[in-house]
Parts: sequence; structure tokens; C-alpha cells
Amino acid sequence: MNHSLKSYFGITATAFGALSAVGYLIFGIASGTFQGGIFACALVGTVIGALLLFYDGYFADFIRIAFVVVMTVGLLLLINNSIDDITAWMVGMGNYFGNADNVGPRLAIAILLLLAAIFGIVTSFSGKRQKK
Amino acid sequence: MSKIWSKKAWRGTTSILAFLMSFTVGGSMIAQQYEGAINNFLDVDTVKILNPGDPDYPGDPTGGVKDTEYFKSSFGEKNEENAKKLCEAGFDATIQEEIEGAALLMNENHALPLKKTERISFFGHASVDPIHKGNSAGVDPMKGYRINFPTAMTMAGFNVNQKLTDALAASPTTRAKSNYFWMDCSNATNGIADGEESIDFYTQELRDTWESEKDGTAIVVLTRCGQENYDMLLNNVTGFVKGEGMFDPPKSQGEKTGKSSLALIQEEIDTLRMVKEAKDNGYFKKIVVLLNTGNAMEVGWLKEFGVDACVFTGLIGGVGAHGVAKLLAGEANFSGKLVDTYAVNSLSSPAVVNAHENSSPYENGDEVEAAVIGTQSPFADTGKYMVFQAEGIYTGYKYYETRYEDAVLGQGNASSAKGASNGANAWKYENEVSYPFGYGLSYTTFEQTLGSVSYNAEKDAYELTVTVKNTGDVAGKSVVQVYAQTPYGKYERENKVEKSAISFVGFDKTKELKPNESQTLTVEVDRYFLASYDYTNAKGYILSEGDYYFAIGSDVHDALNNIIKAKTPSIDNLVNADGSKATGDADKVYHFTHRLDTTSYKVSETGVNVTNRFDDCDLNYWVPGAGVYLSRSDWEGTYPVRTSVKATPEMIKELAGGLYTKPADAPTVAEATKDFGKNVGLKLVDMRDKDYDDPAWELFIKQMTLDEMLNVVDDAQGNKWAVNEELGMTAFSLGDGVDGPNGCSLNFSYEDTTGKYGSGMVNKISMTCFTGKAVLTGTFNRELYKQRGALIGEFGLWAGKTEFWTLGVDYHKSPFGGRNFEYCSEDPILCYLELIPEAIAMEEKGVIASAKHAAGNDQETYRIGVSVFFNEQAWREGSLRPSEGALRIAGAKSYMQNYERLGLVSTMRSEAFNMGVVFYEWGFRGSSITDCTNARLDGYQGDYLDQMAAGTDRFCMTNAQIVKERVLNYLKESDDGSFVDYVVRAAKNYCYECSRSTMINGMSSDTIVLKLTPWWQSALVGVNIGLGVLTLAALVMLVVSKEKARKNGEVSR
Repeated sequence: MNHSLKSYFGITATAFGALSAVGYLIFGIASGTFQGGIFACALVGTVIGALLLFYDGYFADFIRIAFVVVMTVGLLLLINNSIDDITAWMVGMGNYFGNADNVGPRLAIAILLLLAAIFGIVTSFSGKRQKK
Repeated sequence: MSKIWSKKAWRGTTSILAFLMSFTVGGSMIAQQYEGAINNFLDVDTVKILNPGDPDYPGDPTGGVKDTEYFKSSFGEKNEENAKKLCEAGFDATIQEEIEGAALLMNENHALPLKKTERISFFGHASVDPIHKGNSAGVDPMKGYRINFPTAMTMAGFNVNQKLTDALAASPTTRAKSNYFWMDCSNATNGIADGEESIDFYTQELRDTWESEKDGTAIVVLTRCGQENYDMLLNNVTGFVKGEGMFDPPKSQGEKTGKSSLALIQEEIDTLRMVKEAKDNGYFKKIVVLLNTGNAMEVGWLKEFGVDACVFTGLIGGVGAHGVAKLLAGEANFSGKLVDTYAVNSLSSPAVVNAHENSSPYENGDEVEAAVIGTQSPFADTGKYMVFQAEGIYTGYKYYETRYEDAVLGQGNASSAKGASNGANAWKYENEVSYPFGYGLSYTTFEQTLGSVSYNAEKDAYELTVTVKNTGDVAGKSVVQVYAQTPYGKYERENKVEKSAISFVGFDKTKELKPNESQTLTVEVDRYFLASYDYTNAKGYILSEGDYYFAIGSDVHDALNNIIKAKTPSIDNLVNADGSKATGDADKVYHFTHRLDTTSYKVSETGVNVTNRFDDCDLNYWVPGAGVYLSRSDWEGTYPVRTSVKATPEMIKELAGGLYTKPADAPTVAEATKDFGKNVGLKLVDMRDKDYDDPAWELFIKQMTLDEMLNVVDDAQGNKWAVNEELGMTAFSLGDGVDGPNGCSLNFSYEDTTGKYGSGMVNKISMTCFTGKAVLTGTFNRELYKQRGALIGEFGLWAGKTEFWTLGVDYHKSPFGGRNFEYCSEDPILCYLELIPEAIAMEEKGVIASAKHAAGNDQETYRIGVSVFFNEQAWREGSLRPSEGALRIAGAKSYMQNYERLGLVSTMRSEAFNMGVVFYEWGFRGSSITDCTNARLDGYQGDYLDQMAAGTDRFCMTNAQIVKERVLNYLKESDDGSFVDYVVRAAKNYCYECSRSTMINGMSSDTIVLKLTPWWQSALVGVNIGLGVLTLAALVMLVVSKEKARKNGEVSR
């Protein structure tokens, strides 16, 4: 593995993806609000990110873009799934719309997903040129 | 190098664009789910209406112009001048409601009225920060028109201790503020918190402001109010407490006080003690207490703290404080009466034994929860809690007064210590009640004389003439209160037909009578109000055999004393609430007899048998012998005790719901829908005069496809999906709130130069923030009830609203109810009578008066899914009665259900309630809507199929047409054509309601309705397309650059 700046960014993006996947798995099960789609996005994104650490062939650029898209979709699914809890938090009626206590963990996972996507983008801009 | 850099750039650019496109496409999909809310927020039109005469109208633009204004404003055409008149009418109504609804409870030595030269010092944080409105949906006062007490008194010309007032206003002390983000509720208290200055606040510098002069007046303002989701606490806590949710009553934020939240808190005691000391030292000549409360407070301490006068002001609305100022100045006279009993100890109400914080989990609550709980929203409904309403009919004054009669007559073990307050060894009325229902003094005195009593068979009503004479020195209005006592004999005891010793049955109010002026009023009393529901034997309403009494009185207790005196002339142990000896006046009583009658009310006006429908709401139905109802035959032996049971498997099955099954003989969906979608040219406006049973309705509805019918069951407010161009139906538009619905801005502004109401510009006139419901009801003035409805309707008409969720159709079952501020009174018949003129007047303006929350929304604690058990007598004579007034008598065309379970089944899923009683017995025609289900996918709120089958037509806040999706999926899987009937019924009910609303204003058969795509949706589509194209282009460029790089033999990582 070439330890270029790009690879550091890639590792970071993948790490955020992995953290979001693990975090969501724990939170979703603990809160009883687990939604497969969100976890799948975070997991698939992490797998893609990990793959890119070892694969840098012709399709790597496209896979990297796919990583960004998957993480973004996961983020949107999470937002959509969080509206009840966010409403509960804003309205202040804890158990009416959703559960206000869930907002904190949801926000943390959303930030992780967003950071994964952003670092995915940054990675796309990075690169080390080699001449065969 | 530049080429390689170019490849990186394209790769990065593609990533950014893909990210943005994913975001905007996904965001658009989420926004689409909340289309209605966004449209409402942005005030976006979803339709364009073209009428003959409009420039864009196809065909002859001048031909066929018709008057299509079916609902006309009393304020004329919509312009700034008329909008100002409407706005001022709202202000004037609020002030008049306050003047006629505030009740003078105490006025020792004519402490009131005050002279304007007297120096007024206000105490209590609520003086500068009063509760204007209840804490739920509804409109807040407009800026500059949120008038507190010192401001109103200053504007009225009083000499107010401004330095003290300024200090109070600047104080950081606050009550727990509402967590409602969409409204400024900084002036509304949280149900579980009280906010008052500590005694340290009153520094010597501040004390100097009142100690510098002698003979001033101290006005102490106290406040309480529950809120949506929060009942008042049975066991209050100290300190500042912020509520965190219904399942999370105060935990570590404060210490339990052992006193209810309707009693004084320590800061209030300290303040009152300080003020009394100042009075004892001559700084104050008198102390006046204002009760700015939405829940009946405990006020047995007034004399202890040297209070000279006490006024119930209730929730004062935006500018109601001006009414209080006029009353205190003597420029207006008190005529309001209490609509609740003011108990010495609110915990003495038997209705609290099993309610609110005392609600019990089932003994196997965890097992119930495991079976009932949804997976989507685990906190939405645990199904774990139950309330056994053992008090039966004995709520409010019906408990205190009935026990009083039995105590003075020595019957039913009424004097036993069971239920006596504060550990007393015997129950005594004077130890239990501070001020009875109907109480309220005046600056003048009146003499009321009962004249003739006759029965009008045509109206099935008694007509009582009462002559009222002003025997005092100043002008004033007088309320005639009529009460009745019906027999409690052998039949009733044997068949568990409980009887209140006295029931409020009718009222009227005089005009303003000058001194010595008289007026004779005729009060109508429906004979129906004398009937009792016999749920054990006759299984219907009965008129008991025996002696009946009508009585007038200055309040319920006075009237009861009159009846007891008439029944037992030798009685000598009657007392007043203050413990003084009462005599009773038999001349104010009319006596007659009646035979047992089990048939008069056996069949409703609609021809339907009125009989037991709620047997399974009795706890004993499921667990025989589990619960005992309070009976006046033995107060001691039947006084409520905490009750819980183990839910049986059958109960758990009911609690879990999801029981709808396809009938064996169900047609296929294709068979059931074969006639759908055939346009016969009928538009919604053509149906405006068609009775519900007119065959034209079937033709009209079947013009819709099944898909179109399902477009109106999900939340239709502002959603384009509910628009039907062919049928001339626009989107639904609504507002929410009992004392002034929200979301109703008129887009007119004006400069208020009157100096009467507030100050400055009125920016974008909005719906009036009226006084609290107990204030309005306490006016006992039908004209004001009607005026409230008419003005709310006017605002709705001006703003183009279809429906307001605004009729509070429950009652004050206990003084702790979190939403008592939304309901009229503790007396169900008074609620019934108040709601009728209000609902009628509102719907005359074309705005549907939706009754919420029908029925039995008795508590906020555990309200989502709590099982409430009761007997059918208590249910029909109590909880159902306000709804009956609004829906059966007034004919309101919508009602909103609630979250609590009737026995084991929610109102949303109760066929007995929605169809049996409301539709069939009462003849309600219109549509029902759930309380906010918030698109639940499971749990009892997501039980959409069962709910539609049980008579629910619409679903509140089911975004993304989730019910439609659920129904279509079910129909696809089951091919159950019988379920289509429920969809047709729901669509018909919705359209029937709309055809009687502002939705048809401006419409004729020739009108063309065109759907509009809101600008924000067009913008989002544009952004998505743009980003899509850019992303694709960037991707292509990436591929091209990679290919070039590959050909150049370059590799990049």
C-alpha cells in the first residue's frame, strides 16, 4: 500500500463509515428503531472504502464516487428516519411523535456519515501520479 | 501534468456533484412527504380557480357569472378597513368575555372596586407574565397585544407601583416554558412547574416602593395551567422543573412536597405572608388576589393571609386584562360564575384515586407491553397502563353536593371518614369545598323569584319563568341557574342507577339591570337532562319514578340547600361552604312527580335503539368483581381504592388490535369497484344542498376512482394529492386551537390609534387569542358563546380555512386535567349547552367546527394507549355529553378522536363509539379524524384497517399517504372488496363535510379547478435535473480523461 495523502484520506473516510455502521447498529438495536437500509448503506460504504484501500485499478475512481453516493444515501435515509425523533425533540413531547432522547445519537451517526462522504470527496481530489 | 490534474479534478468534481445530486434528490423525496406542511408554511396555493368572467377562463369570459359566495362575511369585502373591524371585534369580544366570565369569589368590606387614585403594587411573577392561553395548539397574542395586568391597570388610569412592576418584569424567574417550538409560550406555565419569585427577590429597595406610602392596595397574581401531555401533579415537586415527557414526570429535578400542584407553593406562601405583614403594618389597606388559572386552584387560605378580595380571572387571552381592569375599577360589574368546584383539597376528588399519576400498570404490564408495543415507535403505546374510573358519575360537584345531602340527612354513611380531607375523622362539606360550582358575587345584589313551571310537550322541555330584580345600588347582569334533583329510590339502588343529589340543567342571563329594574326570563330545561342511564336493567335512559325538584339558586350548593329545605322543612343542619349556617329557601323550588319511564329515550331521533354499547368498557366485564363503583348507597364501603388487574389473554388480544379480517362473503375488489370512475358531471359545489342520504351522493362519489378516494383519507391539509380537478375539490386548509386556532393570518396590517387594546402597529392581523374556555363558559351568556363561534368562523372565512379543530368536547373530570383549559366545565351539561351555539355560529361562516377530542380525553398522563374502564352510565352522562351537544344538537360536521382507550379499544378503533353512538344514535354526518398518528406504521395508531372499519375516515399527519399505501397493499393481497365500502364511506364523509364548507365558496358548476405545482417543487425538480446533467457530464469527462491518461501510460492514485 502506498501511504500517500490519498490513502490517509481513504482510511479516514472508511473509518468514519465503519464507525457509523457500528454506531448505528448499536443505536438502532438499543432504541428499537433499527432500519436495515441505513445500516446497509453504512456497511456497504465501509466495505467499498476498505476495498479501495487495496484496489486502485481502473474502476477505483468510479467505486470511490459510489462510496460517496452510498454514504450520502445512508445519511438521507437516517434523516428521513429521524424526523419523528427530531420533532419530538423540537416539540418537547418526549414520547408523542418519537423519542427526543434519540436525537443525540442520531446526530452523531449523521455526522459520521457526512464526514465519511466528505472525506470520500476529498480522497477523490487527492492522488499521486506515477509514470509507468 | 495538466491532463492528469484534469483527471483528478473531474474525479473530485464528479464526487461532489454526485454527493449534491444524491442529497437534493433524496431531500426532494423527503420534502414531498411533507408537502402539505411546506405549502402551509410557505403559504403556497396548490390550485388555480377559474370562473366565468375571469380573463383566463376558456370560452365566453363574460357569460354565466353567478353569485358563488355561499358564506358571506358580516364584515364585508376583504380590505384593510374591514379587516381592522374584524380584528377590533375580536379584541372587544375578548374583553367582554373577561368582564362577564371573571368570577368575584370574595369581597370583604367592599374592598372592590378600587379607586384609581389608590396606589397598586403587584406581586407574583404572573402579574407581569400571566397565562394568556392554554399550552397546546392555538394562536398566540399578536405582538403589542399581549397585555398583562399592570399594563392594563396603567392604561385604565390606575396608579401602579411601576418600580416594583419593572423589577418583576426584569426578573429572570420564569415558569417552565413550553417546549412547543412553533409558538412563543413563554407566558404559559408548564403543567408540572410553578415559577414564582423567592422571598429574596423583594429586597429592601423594592420594599421601600410600597413601604414609602400607607394605605395602598396589593394585588397578588397566582397562576396554574396544565398543558397538552401534562396533567397537574397530584404530588407536586419543589423547584424549577422542566417536563421531559409523559412517561417522565419530574424525577430528580425537585423534591416531592406531598401537596398537589393546585395548592400554594412555598414561594407563594412566603409572598403572601410578606404582603400580609405589610398590610398589618399599614402599608396596604387591602389585599386582592387574582387567580389567573386554567385549573381550579385550592384557595382555602384566603383569610389566613388577610386577603380582602379574590377574583377568578382564568386565562385572559390577548387583551382580556383590560376587562379585569374595568371590573376592578367598577366600570363594569361582575356577573361571571365558577364552572368548577373549588375544593379545599383537590385530592379529595374521588376521580383522582385511579387517575393521572395514580394510573396503574396492569399487574402483568410487561407481558401486555410485549404484545402490544409497536416496533417502529416503541414509546408510542405501551398499552401497559390502566385507569379504573371507580368514581362513576360522582365527579366535580356531583360528588361534593351529593355527599353533603346524604351527610345532612344521615344516609349512606356519608359522614364517615372515608374520603375526608386532611385526615379528618368525619366528612364535612365545609371542610371540603371553598367555593361551589356556579358561585360568583357582584357589586350589586339580585333577588330571583321562581314563577311558573310548565312542560312543553312539543319541545319535550320544561319552561321555568324566573323574575330577577336588581336590589342593589349599581347596574349589573344576573345569571339564573336552574338545577334539578331526581329520585334515588329502590329501583335505582337495586339496579345501580346512581343519582347526583343535584344536577345543573339550564340557565339564562339577564340584560344589564339598573337598580330596582326587573326582568323575567324563561329558562328551558330539556326533560332529557332528567333521565339517567340504566346500564344494568333497562339498558337505556330512564326517568325514575318518584319526586322531582327544580330549584334556582346562587350556586349549586345554594340550590341544593333550597331543595333539601323543600323536602325536609324541619332541617336545621344546613351549612354554607364557609361553615356558616344555611337556611334554604323552599320558595325557590318546584316539586313534581313522575312515573318510571323506560321508553321515552329508548329510541333516538334517528330511529336507532339507544342501548348498551360499552359493556366491554367495564373492568368487571373482563375480570368479574375486579372493581367497585362509588355509590351513594354506601359512601364508606364503595369509596374508590387503587385498582389494577392482570390482563387476561383475551384482553391482550384486544389491546394488540389488528383484528380486522376479510368477511367470508366479500366480493372481489374488481367487483366492488366496477362502477367507479364514471364521471356524471357532478361537482362538489353541486352537492352543497344534497342531504347525506340523497342518491346523488352515490353518483358523486363513484365518479372517483378508488385511488382518488384514498387521496382524501391521509392528511389532506394543504396537500395537492387531495385536489380533484374534475370534481372541483381544492386542498384542505385547517387550523388548530380551542381559544383561537393557529395558522390564520389575514395579510392586512394597520396602525392602531385607539389606545384601547395595545400599542403600535397591528402587523398581519391574525386570529384573536380569546379568553380561556372556563372564562367564556363562566359568562353563562349564550350570545357570547355564539359570538366566539362566529368570530372564529369569520377569521377562518377570511383566511379560506376549511376546518378548525376548535371545539373542546371533554369535561373537567378532575381538577388536574392537563387540558382542562380546553374544556368548558366540570359539568357535562353546561359543556353541552355552551358548545351548541358556538359550533352553529362557526359553521354558519362555512368553517367546519371540528370537535376534539371526542370522547373521554380525561387525562394526559399515559394518554397514548391508556386503558380507561368505566360504566356506561358515567360514560353517557359524563364524557359523551359535551360531544353530544356539538355533534347531535349543533350538527358539527367533524370530530377528532383521541389516544385513550375506551376499555381496551381506542376511540379510533371503537365501532361502538364512531358508528353506534355518533353516526347512528346521534345522526352525525361528516367526517372523523384521528389524533395525530404521525404516520405510525405499527402499534395501535398504525392499526389503519381496523380503524377505517370502525368508522374512522381521516388520519391526522399521515404524511406520504401511508394509509393509502397500506389499504392498497391490503386490497392487493386480500382482494377483499368489502373493505372498499369503508373507503367509499370515508371519501363520502370527507366530501360531505367539504360541501358544507368554505371550500365551495367561489365555485359553481362552471368553475374550473387547476392543480398548481408549488414553486418550490418546480425549483427542486430544476435543481435535480441540473445536478443530474452536470454529474453525468462530469462522469463522462472523467471517463474521457481516464482514457487519455491510460493512452498516455499514466497512472494516478
